Amino acid sequence: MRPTREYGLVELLDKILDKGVVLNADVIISVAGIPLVGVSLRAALAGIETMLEYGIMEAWDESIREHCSKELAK
Amino acid sequence: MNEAQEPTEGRYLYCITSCGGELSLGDMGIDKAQVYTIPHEDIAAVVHVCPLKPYESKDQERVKRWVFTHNYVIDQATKRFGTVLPFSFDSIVKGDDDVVRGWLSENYSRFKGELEKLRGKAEYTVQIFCDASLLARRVEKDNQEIGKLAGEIKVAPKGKAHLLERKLEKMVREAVAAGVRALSEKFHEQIEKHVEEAREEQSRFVPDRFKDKRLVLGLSCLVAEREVEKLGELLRQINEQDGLSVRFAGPWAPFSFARLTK
Repeated sequence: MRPTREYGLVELLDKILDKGVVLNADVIISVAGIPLVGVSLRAALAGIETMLEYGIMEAWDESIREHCSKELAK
Repeated sequence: MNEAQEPTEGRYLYCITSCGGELSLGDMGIDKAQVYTIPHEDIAAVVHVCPLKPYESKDQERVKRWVFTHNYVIDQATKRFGTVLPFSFDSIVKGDDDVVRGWLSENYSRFKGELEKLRGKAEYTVQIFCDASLLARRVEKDNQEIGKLAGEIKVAPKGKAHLLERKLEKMVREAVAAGVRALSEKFHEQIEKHVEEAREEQSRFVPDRFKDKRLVLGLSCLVAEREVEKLGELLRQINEQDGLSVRFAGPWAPFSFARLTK
């Protein structure tokens, strides 16, 4: 069975909002001693919560499709 | 740069990568920003120049574009340089290239160590679903206690039958839940053999084709390249079992596994 490269928005949001080197925190002041712009990740992206709540698998946008097909062609 | 001065610009961080040079990756960034690398020794930060405020918007379409772009840049960097340490969306450094360089220098062994640990590995999503009604039917057939109760219901007067039906439903639900737990443990154990690390995930994202099914096990897995095929083979075998279906997705940059430990 081969892994598929699906880009469900909710799954993507789950990774890049809540994970990664800078973990989700209400106000990020610094990571490993570097000054960062303080931001509440969820508040900054109003409307994200709605998308997450309803677990919407969004239909693809043409430009995003283009992005990804460029990527797959490389 | 006069260190007493307040910074007037920022650097949007996409990821840290193994790369020793100053490279331009073109205008692939958020809102068509120019993405480039800021190196220190043999590692580099992948960034674009940005104002000193987070990207925020109520416009859903805009936000979607941003997050896809954030991941796209990370994927491109991975293709070019190998496994990266991905940042969360909206990780913005206060300062210029020098500030970033200084930060890379101070944390060089930390970043380098993490990059080495993750070399040749990627994150994959594994979700195993079951057809709950199939499991319920199986339980009703095989479970003696349930079979006995079903027989009692057939001959019971209406009022009592109703109560017994409730009891039966509860027993079936509990037996199915126990069956699912047993499957989950078994599969987790089998999958562990092929992955470096596995994290259980409550998934909010489920593609349409799995909407009516019940999640038996959801994992984010850190998998070495050479193990992906073997993992795929195990999942194929599980997928072929009656009433089970598997979703295997990836690769992703190791969002769930990149850590900066002190």
